Amino acid sequence: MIHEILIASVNCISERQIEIAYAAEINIEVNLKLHQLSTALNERFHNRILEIVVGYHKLAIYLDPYAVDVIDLSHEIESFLNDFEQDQSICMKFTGRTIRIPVCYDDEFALDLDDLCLYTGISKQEVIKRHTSPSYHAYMIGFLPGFPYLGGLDVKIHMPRKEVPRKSIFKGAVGIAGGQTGVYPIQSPGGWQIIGGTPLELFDLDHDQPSIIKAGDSVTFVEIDLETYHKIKEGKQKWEVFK
Amino acid sequence: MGSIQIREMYGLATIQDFGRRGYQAMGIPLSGAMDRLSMIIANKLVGNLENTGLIEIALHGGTLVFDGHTSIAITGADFQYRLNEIEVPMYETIEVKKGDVLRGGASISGMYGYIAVAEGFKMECTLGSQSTYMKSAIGGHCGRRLKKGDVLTLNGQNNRVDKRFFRREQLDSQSLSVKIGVIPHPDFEANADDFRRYFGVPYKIQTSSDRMGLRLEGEPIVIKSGYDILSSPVTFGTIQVPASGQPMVLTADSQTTGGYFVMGTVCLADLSKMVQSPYGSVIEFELINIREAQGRLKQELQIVRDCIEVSRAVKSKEYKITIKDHTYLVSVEEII
Repeated sequence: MIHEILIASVNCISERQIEIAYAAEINIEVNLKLHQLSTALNERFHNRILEIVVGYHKLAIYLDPYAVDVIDLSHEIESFLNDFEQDQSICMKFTGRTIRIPVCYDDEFALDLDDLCLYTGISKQEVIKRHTSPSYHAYMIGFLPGFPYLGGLDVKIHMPRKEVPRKSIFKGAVGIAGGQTGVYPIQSPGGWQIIGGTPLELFDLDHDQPSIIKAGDSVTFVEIDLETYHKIKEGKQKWEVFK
Repeated sequence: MGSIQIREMYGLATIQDFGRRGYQAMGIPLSGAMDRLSMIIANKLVGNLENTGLIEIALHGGTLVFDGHTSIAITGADFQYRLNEIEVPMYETIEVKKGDVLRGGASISGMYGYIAVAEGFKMECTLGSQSTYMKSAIGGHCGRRLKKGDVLTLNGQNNRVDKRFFRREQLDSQSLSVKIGVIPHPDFEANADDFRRYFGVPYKIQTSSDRMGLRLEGEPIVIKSGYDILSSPVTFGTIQVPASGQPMVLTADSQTTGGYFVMGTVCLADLSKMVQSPYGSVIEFELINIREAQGRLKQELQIVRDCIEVSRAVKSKEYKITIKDHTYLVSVEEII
């Protein structure tokens, strides 16, 4: 079996940013590698890096240009990356957490579910089944605070974004756009097809980690009824977020 | 405890500091002052640490009433502020007393004005910063813009700091076309049709520009490989090119990830003059490298360090002088 070695490029994007990039594709192994690399880099260079943000196939290392010479640091990172690639002991397997998101697919929240059924030719029940079966990988958090980019949506329930985006989508809306699925942690304009709603606070400033879902996590959707939705929302019922 | 009451506010006013560090991986933007340099100078003029929260106001000043004796400094856009109806100078420490009224109008130069107060505001830090991110109601004063009736509590009371001046002639003067240093992205060099031709040509700042980004209009940028990319990290200073070919420079409140092609990054030292360029004015991208960008930062550091003069006043007297219907508040000090 040939072990594929992924080649990454290291570039000084500016005097305050270094970019490590793999080939442009949505690939869960590449993304997992980036998350592990991010952890390793933060550990090794913690006093010279401000923060790291991971995208689908690239990560950005932000630094203080007054304190750090980006070119010197990039050379060190190249060496580090070389060792990291060679280290066979680093397994490209999922090491994050699984987050369970309760979703109510009732008419009240499933604004575009009828349209989706028409578009895909399958029933509501089947859409829900296909939406709740997989374990989705959170490639990254972006676009809005706490907004996860989830990959792995069943091809049978793909649907393009709305041609005319809504001016306002309710907080907790669960949606589909192309081959992606996700949740709006706050109210926002947007073009996603909305099929349900979650009573969970995905983004809470009072927590140490304000975003429940972190990049690199696995996410599953669990169907709940309207009564349960309200109970959770009102704090009368606790929800087990972690599997 | 002293305070400032907002009697009127027309422009977009928010509390900002350097920004919120460490949470971009959660989708929380940096936010912070658009014009970092003006913020640093304002804070230094009142003896604050550079990163102290202050008031940022866009386009139009308002009316502030001081309930307490303190020192303030005004930098950035010129809202022609008057203190108790008398014009006050920018870029120097101003002493204010209880009951003083600071009133500003429309900007006559620049986009973002700053008011720093000695010892800053008594305000909780949210996720390590006092900066306001309005979209998620994070930080600053109740996570929103300042409005009439708001009362901002100050940390200090009866603050009088040594008077300082900033010799602003050292700053780059506004020329007809503002040159902005840009480090090109390797993908731009590879995929644009002769990437150099987009440097040194005019791009006009559109009125749709705001704290999320500067929208520009000029020669459309042609990217052979297409404008949509897989979402990647972006930050304050990243230049995106959507399908229209019209570039957009992301600023303080921009999203942390983006799906549009990235042409390059504006160097940190040039961000301040860029954001202060008014609507309708023209900027030009200047092709530079990392060393040049670092050099400009060193220069900026030098300017700030060299230009803050502390007046070693022994005796000072204040006079109201009226010349041709303009009344000036003049402070005369003997320097030893």
